Amino acid sequence: MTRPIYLIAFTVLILFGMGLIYFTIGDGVPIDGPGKLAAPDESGYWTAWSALLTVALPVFLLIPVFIGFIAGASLAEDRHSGYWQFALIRVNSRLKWVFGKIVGIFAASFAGSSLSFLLLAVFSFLLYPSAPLDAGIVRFNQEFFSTNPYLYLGLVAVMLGLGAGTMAGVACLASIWIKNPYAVGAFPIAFLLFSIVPYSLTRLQILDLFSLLSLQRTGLSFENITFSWLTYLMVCYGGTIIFFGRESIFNNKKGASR
Amino acid sequence: MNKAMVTAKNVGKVYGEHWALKDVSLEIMPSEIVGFVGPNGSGKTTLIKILAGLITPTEGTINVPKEGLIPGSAGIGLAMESAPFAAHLSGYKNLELLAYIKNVISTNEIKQAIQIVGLNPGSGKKVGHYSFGMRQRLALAQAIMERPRLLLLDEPTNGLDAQAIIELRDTLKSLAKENGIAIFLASHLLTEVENVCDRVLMVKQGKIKKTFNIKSDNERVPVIVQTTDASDIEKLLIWLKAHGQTYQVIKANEVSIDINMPVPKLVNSLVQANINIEGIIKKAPTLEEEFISLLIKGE
Repeated sequence: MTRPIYLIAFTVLILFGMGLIYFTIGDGVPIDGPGKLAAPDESGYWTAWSALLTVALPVFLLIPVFIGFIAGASLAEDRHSGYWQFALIRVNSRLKWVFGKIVGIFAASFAGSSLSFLLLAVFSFLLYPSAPLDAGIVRFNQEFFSTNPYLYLGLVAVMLGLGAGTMAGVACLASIWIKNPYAVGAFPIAFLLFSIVPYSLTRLQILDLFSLLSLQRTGLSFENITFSWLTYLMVCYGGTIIFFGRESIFNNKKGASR
Repeated sequence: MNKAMVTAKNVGKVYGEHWALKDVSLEIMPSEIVGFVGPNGSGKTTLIKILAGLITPTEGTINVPKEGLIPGSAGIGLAMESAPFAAHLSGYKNLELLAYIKNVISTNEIKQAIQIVGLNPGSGKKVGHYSFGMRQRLALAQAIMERPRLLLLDEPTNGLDAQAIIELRDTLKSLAKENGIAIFLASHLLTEVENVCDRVLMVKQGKIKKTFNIKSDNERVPVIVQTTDASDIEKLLIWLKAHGQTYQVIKANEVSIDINMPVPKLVNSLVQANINIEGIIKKAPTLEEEFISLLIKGE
């Protein structure tokens, strides 16, 4: 269950993203022509696209991590408070309960992250002109961006949703062993920070979480980002279901029936 | 004869090398209220959690009702001592969220459950501002709102004032009697357990040491009959001999009788035999006495 304070903090984060878009570009006055303000590549000019896909980037990194903190920690919070017992008794199966819980957590993180991005996109489009397009403002699938910019935005929203789902999944997996929601909520942040180590050792793209979240690596594509997130999702949520759904793994010596 | 609502056979639960429960077998019949008493760490909460399906037993078999009185509802209602609810929501909102899982009861039925436990369903007060007793009541409302066939209560009277305890006792009795709900409760308050339960299981170190049948055990205990004067004692002794009762004269006007009939019937019979009775004392050992001798002194 999400606490109101989390919703307030999340709103503040979105407002921060809006602030970045609004204040970094200029005085908030929509521009009509080229050259009025410094452009991302010195040759173009600011549009809604460039404002969203360059200036608001730090928020893209923060949103999934923050959502991972909120949504993922809800499993730990339910376990910590004991509230899950009331729900579990109605479902009558640990497996069903944890499955329902993680579906809810994933859906909430996916929707929360994607919708936040789309909200920022709408804000940006209301504030700045939407054309002409400059393919250079995106780092991968540039041709696709040129031909289907709105679909591109939609896919970016999906990627961020998957990223947020993964961060929440990391917190869910940590909730198996840790019941303190704040400690569990810190796991996605730690996961993101410590991913630098295995990535610098192996140079495996799947381990480069910063690039996967901020969408800033030219070697990326929607295909390999999706593959990376799906791999993480399966490991995190699969692990949560297996470990939590089968409490007997830890406690049973012999079989018992019910 | 009614089929048992709950059957547990040789149930055990081990944590590491420590057996929290060992070889526990029990049956609970519909409408029966069974108490579970024992010192701290004796396995009371573990058994409740096992019956509720929150933890899996290491060994043994358990049969519990899969469905409540309302089709599609959960068979078990659970109220734990901690009464965990979302602090930022009202009591009604908390229950509504839980009811949404099964979606078999109406909002009116939720409100009715809240009223039964003595809370105001219309109150928008957040659970975070509830007293401990109010949270306990809400936990009970949560447990009964979907009409389960088995009610599991862990320390239900903790934090309740005297009036609330009496109301809870009446509520539990009427739930059991009118709806055929089997109730299993663990409590430290022995007097309350004795007042509300039909049967009490005494547990120590994870094992059931004794089953104390409140009604039948009380029916078989000796009574001390005090007569008005010595002439009445003579009449009483004649009557006792004629009815094959075992007795022992304690004082000139006091006899201890191991009766084999209910006390009200004895009183009636003595009155009809024109024996003037000054008083009757039932010498049943209280649950507390049993608890002390069995679980504390270890006799």
